[in-house]
Amino acid sequence: MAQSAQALARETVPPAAPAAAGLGRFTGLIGAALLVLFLAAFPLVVTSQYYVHLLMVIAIYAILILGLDIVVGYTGQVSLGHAGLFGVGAYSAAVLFLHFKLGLWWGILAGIGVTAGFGLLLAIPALRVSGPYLAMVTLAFGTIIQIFINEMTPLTNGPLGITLPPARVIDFSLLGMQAPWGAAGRKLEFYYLVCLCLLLTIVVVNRIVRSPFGRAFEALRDSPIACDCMGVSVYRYKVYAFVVSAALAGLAGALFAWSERYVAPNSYGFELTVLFLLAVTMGGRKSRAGPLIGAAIIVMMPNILADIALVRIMAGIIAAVALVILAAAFLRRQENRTAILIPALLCIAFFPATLAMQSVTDFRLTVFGLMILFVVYYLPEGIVGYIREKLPFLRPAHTGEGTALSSSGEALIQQGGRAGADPLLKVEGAVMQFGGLKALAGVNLDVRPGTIHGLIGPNGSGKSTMMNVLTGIYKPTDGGVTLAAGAGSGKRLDGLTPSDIALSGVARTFQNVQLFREMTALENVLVGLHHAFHGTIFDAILGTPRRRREEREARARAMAILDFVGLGSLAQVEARNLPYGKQRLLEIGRALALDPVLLLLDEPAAGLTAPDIAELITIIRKIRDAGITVILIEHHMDVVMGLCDRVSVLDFGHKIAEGSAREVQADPKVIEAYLGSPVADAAE
Amino acid sequence: MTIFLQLVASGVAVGMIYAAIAFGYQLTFATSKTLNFGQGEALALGALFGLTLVPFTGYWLMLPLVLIFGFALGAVVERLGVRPAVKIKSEYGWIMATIALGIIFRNVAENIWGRDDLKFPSPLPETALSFEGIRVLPMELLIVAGALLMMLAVELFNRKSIWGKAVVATSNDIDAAGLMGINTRKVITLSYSISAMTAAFAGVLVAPVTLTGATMGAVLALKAFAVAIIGGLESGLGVIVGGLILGIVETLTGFYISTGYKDVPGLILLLLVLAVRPVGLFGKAVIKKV
Repeated sequence: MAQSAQALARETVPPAAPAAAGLGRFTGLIGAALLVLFLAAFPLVVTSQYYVHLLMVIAIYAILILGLDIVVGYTGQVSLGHAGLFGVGAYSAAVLFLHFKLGLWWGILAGIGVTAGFGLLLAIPALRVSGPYLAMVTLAFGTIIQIFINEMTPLTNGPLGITLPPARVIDFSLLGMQAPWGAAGRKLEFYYLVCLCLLLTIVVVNRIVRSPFGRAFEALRDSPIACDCMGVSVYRYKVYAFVVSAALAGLAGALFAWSERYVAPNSYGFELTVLFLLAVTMGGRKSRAGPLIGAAIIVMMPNILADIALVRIMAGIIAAVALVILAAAFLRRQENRTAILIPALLCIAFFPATLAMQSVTDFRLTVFGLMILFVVYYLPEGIVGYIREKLPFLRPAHTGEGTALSSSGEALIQQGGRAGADPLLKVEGAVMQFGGLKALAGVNLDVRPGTIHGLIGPNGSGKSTMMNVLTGIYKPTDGGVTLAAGAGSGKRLDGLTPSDIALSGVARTFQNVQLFREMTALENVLVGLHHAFHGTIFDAILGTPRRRREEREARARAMAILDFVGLGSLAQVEARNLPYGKQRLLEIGRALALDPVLLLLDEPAAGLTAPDIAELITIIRKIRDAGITVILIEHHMDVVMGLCDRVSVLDFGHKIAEGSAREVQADPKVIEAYLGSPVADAAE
Repeated sequence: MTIFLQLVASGVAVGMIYAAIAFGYQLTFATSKTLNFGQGEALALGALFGLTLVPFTGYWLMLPLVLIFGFALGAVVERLGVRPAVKIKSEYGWIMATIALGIIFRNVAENIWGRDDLKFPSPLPETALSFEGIRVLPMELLIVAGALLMMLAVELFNRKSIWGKAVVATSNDIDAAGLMGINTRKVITLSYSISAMTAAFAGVLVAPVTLTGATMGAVLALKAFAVAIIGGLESGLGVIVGGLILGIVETLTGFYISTGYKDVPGLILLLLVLAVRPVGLFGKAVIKKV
C-alpha cells in the first residue's frame, strides 16, 4: 500500500518538485526584494511628480486589493461594498481634519478603526448569506454609504467634498530641529510612507493567510458544511475575513484622502467597486503579486486610454498576436481552434474600431466591462495564476513557514477508560420532520463507549438524517441528544451549532466527500486541528513565538495522523488531485484531528476497491482500540458484520431492530425491510 | 390623513415598478439559480429605446417593439454572461459577467443617448385626477395596470402554454426536467428573455413619471432586489406585497424625512430581511442536503 502511495505521489506532484519547492520559497523573497528596490529607487530615477503620484495611487489601491483578495480569493465571497469601505476610510481621515484639525497619522488610525467598525457592522447581518445575496447586500451597503456622505452635510460637507492641505508626515519642528533632507525630500516623505504601508500590508496578509485563520478562510470557501463540522465556525471566520479586509480598505482610504488632498462622495461608487474586483481577478487570486499587478492595470488603464495613438498601437499589437495565435491554431489543427475563434476575432476587430474612433475615453467603461468578461472566461486564475500554471517553479511552496514533514507524537489521543459503562451517546425520541415526511419518527439510540456501533437500513430509512441531527446540521423537530462528556454529567447536543458539537468531541465524515479541495492533504488535517491553536489574530500578524510553536506542533501532529491513515507520502498533494479512495481516508484523518470521543463514519467504504476496504477496516479497528467510539453507517454488510459490536437497524424513520451483528442478521423484520415480505409469495 | 393617503397612492405606482423588476429576478432565479445584475440597465435601455421609437411609431405601437427588444436583450445576456459561467459552475463568473454586461450597456447607452436625463413624453394627460382630495396621475394608473397585466400574462404563459410548463418544470427540478427531454438550456434562455422583457417594459412604464437616462435603472434594480428578497426569490406573487410595502415606505420617507434619504429604507430593509430571514417573508426554508 505504501509503495503505491509513493508511486502516486510521483505522478501527482510535478517531476521537479523538490527543487521547485525550494525555488518557490525563494521567488517570494526575491519578488519582495525587487519590489522594495523598485519602490525605493523609483522617485530617484523618475523625477516627474506626476509619475511618482501615479505609483503612489497604485500602491494605495494595491493595499485595498490585497485586503479584498482575502474576501474574494480566500473565502470566495463577492463583495461589492469595498468602494464604500474605501470611502469610509477616506472620509474618516478627512472629517477628522475638517472638524478637529487632526492630521495624517490620526487619519490613518481613524481610517483603519472606523472602517473596521463599519465592516463589522456590515458583516454581522450580511455574512449569514453568501453568493449573489451577499453581492447585493454589499452593493446596497455601498449605496447607503454614498447617500449618507452626500446627505450628512454638517459632518461631511456634502456634495462639495473636503479639501485637505499637503500631508505632513514628520513634524520636525516638534523635535526642535530642521528636516535633515531638503524640500525635494520632504515632498517624498508621504510617498515613502505609502510604500511602507504597502510593504507592511503584504507582510500582514502573508502571515494571516498562512495562519490557522487563512486556512479557515479557505476551508469555508471549499466546503462550508465540512468547515463547521471541523469546529471552525463558518460565520465567525467570514466575519474575521471581512473585518480584516475592511481595515485594510480603511487604511487605503485614509492614505488616498491625503494623497489626493480632496474627497468627494462620487469618487466611491459602484464603478470603483467593480474595478477593484477586476483588479483582484485579473491580477490573480490568492497571491501577493496579483493585487499589485491588478492595481497597476486599473490605475494606468484610464491614462493609456486617454492617448488614442497609444491605444491604436496596442490594439494593433493585440490584433496581430491574436491573428498569429489563430492562424497557428488552424494550421496545426489544434482541438481548441473553434473555441478561441470568437475571442480572437473580437481582439482583431478591436483594432479597426479604435481607428474609427476619435477618442476611447468615453468608452472607458466598455473597455473595462470587456476586460472583466475576458478575465472571467479566458483567464479565471488571473495573470499570476496563468504564469504559475505555465512555469511550475513559480508555484508557491505549499508548506510556507514551519515546514515540518517529519511526524512526531501519537496520531490518536487515547480516549479510553469508560468502556462498558453508561452509554456515551444517548438519543431519546429523535423526530425529524421535513414538511409531511417524518425522516426520523422518534428514534432511541444508546451508543456504548469504546464500541463500533453500526447503523444500517435500506435507502431512505433515515440513517443520514440521524447523522445530520447528531452533528447539528439539522435541528431535530423533537427529542434530545446527550453526550456523556467528562465525569457523570451529560451534555445536551441538540440545539448546539455544528461547530460547537464538533468541539464537544463529535467528528464526522461525509457520504459525498466534502474535502477542502484546493488545500493540500496536510492543510486539510490542519483545519481539523484548528482547536489546537489558541493564538489570536494578532499572534498571527506579529508571528509571535506562541504562534510558531503551535504551528510546528500542529504540523508534526498532522503528519502523524496522515501516516496513520496511510497518506504520509501524499501530504503535499492538493485534496482534489487525490484518488477517490485516498480522499475518503483523508476525510477520516481530518476528523481524527479533532481528537473526538465519538467518530461518525457515513458510508466510508462506498466506492472503494477491495484492497482499500481491507485497509479501511484495519484503520477503523485501530481507531476503536484507541478508545474512540465509532458510529458506522455502511451498506457493505461484510464490513458491518465484521466490525460492529452492536448494530441498529432503521427503516422509514423507525428503529426496527438492535443487537449484535448476528442477532440482527437473523431478525425477520430486518430481512423483510431489506428483501420484502415473503407473504405475497406464500399467498399463491 | 389626506396627505398620508396621497403619499400611499403615489407609493403604489413606484411599488408596482419594483414588483415588476423583482418578478423578473424570480423568473431567472427559479430556472437557473442565477440572476441578472444588469437588470437595471435592461430597464434603462428599454426606456431609451422606447423614447427613440415614440416619434416614429407613437406610444402604443412602441410597446410591443420594446417588448421584443427586451426579449432579445435578455437572450444576449444569458448567452454571453450566464451560460458560459454556469457551464464552468462559477458563481463568481456569472455575477461578474452580468455586472460587466450591465456596465457595457450603460456606457454604450451614455454614448448614444448622452449623459443628461431626457424627458419621456407622457401618452396620457398630465393633469391629475382627483378622488376625494387624493390626486392621482393617469400615468400612475397606467403603471399599476401595465405592471399587473405584464405579471399576469407571464403567469398565464407559465401555467397554460407548453413552454411555460417547461419553465415551471425546470424551476422545480432542472435535472429531472432535462431527463424528461426538456431542453433546459433553452428554458433558461427563455426565462432570461422574459425577465429582461419585464424590466424593459417596466422602464417604458416608469419613464414618463421619472426622467429617462442610462443610469435610471441602477438604484431601481437594487431596490427591486430588496423587494424580491422580501417577497422571496422562490415564491410567486409575494413581490407585489413587497413592492407595495417598499414603494409606500419610500414616499413616506421622502415626505417626512428628506427626499435625499428616500432610497435608504429599501436598502436597510434589504439588509434586515437578509439578516433575519434570508428566504424572505413569503419564502419557504430550503433544507440543505448533505
